[in-house]
Amino acid sequence: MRVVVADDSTLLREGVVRLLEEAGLEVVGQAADAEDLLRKVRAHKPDVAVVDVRMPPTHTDEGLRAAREIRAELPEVSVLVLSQYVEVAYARELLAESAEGLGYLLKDRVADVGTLTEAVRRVGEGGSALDPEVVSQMLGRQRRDDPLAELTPREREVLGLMAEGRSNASIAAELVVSERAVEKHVTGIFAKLELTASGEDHRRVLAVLRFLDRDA
Amino acid sequence: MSGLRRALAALGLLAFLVGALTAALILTSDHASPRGLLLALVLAAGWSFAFTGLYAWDRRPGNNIGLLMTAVGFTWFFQGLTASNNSWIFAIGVLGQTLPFAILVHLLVTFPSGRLHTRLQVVAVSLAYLATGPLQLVWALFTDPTAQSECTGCPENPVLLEPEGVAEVVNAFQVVGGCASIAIAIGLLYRNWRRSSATERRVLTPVLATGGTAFSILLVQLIAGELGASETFKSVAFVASVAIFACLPFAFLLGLLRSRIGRAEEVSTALTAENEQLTAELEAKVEELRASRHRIVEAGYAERRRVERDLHDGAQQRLMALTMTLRLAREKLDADPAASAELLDEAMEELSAATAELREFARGIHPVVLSDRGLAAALGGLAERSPVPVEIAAAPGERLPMPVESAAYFVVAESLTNVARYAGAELATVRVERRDGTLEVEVSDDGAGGADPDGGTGLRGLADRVAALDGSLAVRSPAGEGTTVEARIPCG
Repeated sequence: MRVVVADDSTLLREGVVRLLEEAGLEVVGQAADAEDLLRKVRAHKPDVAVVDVRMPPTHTDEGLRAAREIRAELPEVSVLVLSQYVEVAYARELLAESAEGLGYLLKDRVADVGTLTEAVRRVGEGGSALDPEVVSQMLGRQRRDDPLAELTPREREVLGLMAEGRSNASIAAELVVSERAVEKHVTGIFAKLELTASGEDHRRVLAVLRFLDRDA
Repeated sequence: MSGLRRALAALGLLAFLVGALTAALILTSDHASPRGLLLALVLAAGWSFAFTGLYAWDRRPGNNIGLLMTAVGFTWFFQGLTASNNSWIFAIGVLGQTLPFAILVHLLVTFPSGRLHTRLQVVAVSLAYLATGPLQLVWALFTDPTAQSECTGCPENPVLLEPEGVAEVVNAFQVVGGCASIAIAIGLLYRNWRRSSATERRVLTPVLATGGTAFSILLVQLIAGELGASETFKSVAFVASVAIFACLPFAFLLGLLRSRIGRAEEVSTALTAENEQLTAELEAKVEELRASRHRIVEAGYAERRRVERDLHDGAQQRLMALTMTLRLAREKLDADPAASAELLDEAMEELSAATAELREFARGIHPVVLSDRGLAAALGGLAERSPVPVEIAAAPGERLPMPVESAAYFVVAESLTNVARYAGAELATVRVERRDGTLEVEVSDDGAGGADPDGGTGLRGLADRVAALDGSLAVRSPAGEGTTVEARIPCG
């Protein structure tokens, strides 16, 4: 899997590159700002672009804008956005239309090799990766007449992992249960929340996010 | 009582005494006729001019009208002196008896300002004073009252001069000058009235109607006297003039009180009072500003101290501990690889805790989403993280000036923190709306209420932050009815 990494901090960028290379991914380009990133993405057509949200010149949301531009211009290139802060607003914006080949991860995750490389792989295969922090914030938001109150603790866990973009197999592995058990939970959750089940993981992410977001 | 008012009161008393004296002279006169009518004319017009004039003077001290009216009143009593049996008093009366008519001309053509502006006004007034002043003096010196038909029983002129014909010539000049003066005055009054607006007419009409009539009667009397009209006609004209001259001062007074001109002094007194009040308010505001600026600077220092302490107690301590853990792990690497791995795990945990802590710390200093995405998104984030359910009832979609957004954000953030900490609420409602150039920020909860609006540096700091933008912050917290924090921030 071929990757381009964009981050204006050399220290962090090289750290990410090293981690990805150790995990067997091929880093074909590095960029220090959004313009550089777009140039390298167009040139290398990688499977995934790993992009920091804040980059020169304004250090605000260049990464997010570049991500949208890449998805629009080169749909075959997936984007994983790394953010200093968990902002549900950014996640919502990024995944407004589609969760396919898109990820939003807290930057801290680079310290956790497994989480980062798994997210890169998942996004590279057209799936989604939403940071557990974002998901737990959305799940944990205090509501009146909480529709999630009906879910069992296990179902809540499964819902959270679904929202992160995990597949049934991945959820089963995480919770140490069988895939069939996960499927049963998923059906139960969709029935309770009155959602239409969908086969593809990235569509499922969107349905779950819409649901979690609906009265925000 | 002011000095002016005391002086006016004294003049009023004097007017009363002079009136009473002339009344005595008329009643004891052996030549005045008809006595009753003369008494009525002198007292009614003299007193009413004097008293209404003094009143007007008091009400509009900056305007000459009151002074002129009072002067008419006093000079009017000269006519009463002509009833005296004493030849000197009689002579003084004769000398001054025409003066009030000149002052009346002055009064009418300058009404309501009391000031001479145009050349025509000056001509009319000069002619009037010339005819009634110097010419009257010359006429009086050359006139023998005992020789006149209508003055049977009048005392002799104590300083009678020769030759006889002079008086008649002078009198002719007086009549012509007087008539010209009155005619110009009537013309000026009419022209003023024609040119004035509806509001101004409210002021001018009573004066002009009465004054015009009085002058016309005067004119008729003057001309009739010269042409030798019948006694009946003269009596009717005389009665009419008594009535009209007694009415005239009230017309002036009415007009003057309706007018705004001459209020200068009154207005200036009011302005001075207002000015003093404004100055006091301004001083209070400056004092308040000084205090709040001081608090803001203090808050800045306090904030720096807090940042320093948090960094020192948090991240720095963690990183130092981390260094030690890593050094231990390095030492044990060869001898005890298992223990070393354990230490490394520990170090990683420590590290991710430090990272998370730093992240939250940085967010507390400045929320990135606020500058990137604006209030609505940032408030959404606050609501997501609040342990108490939050309903965002309204949030502005458009971007506002950064200081305004920032102040509004921290008002909501601090209020929600307080809700979570103290209120015991089930729900907090946030409403941020832009209305008429003001951003209205309201955070209310359904909790216990009873919060002390002055208590806590948090709220005080918020109030200063909002006040720095010329806004205001109010806290309502009746016990048992929840708490509402309301900020109003001008946002252009």
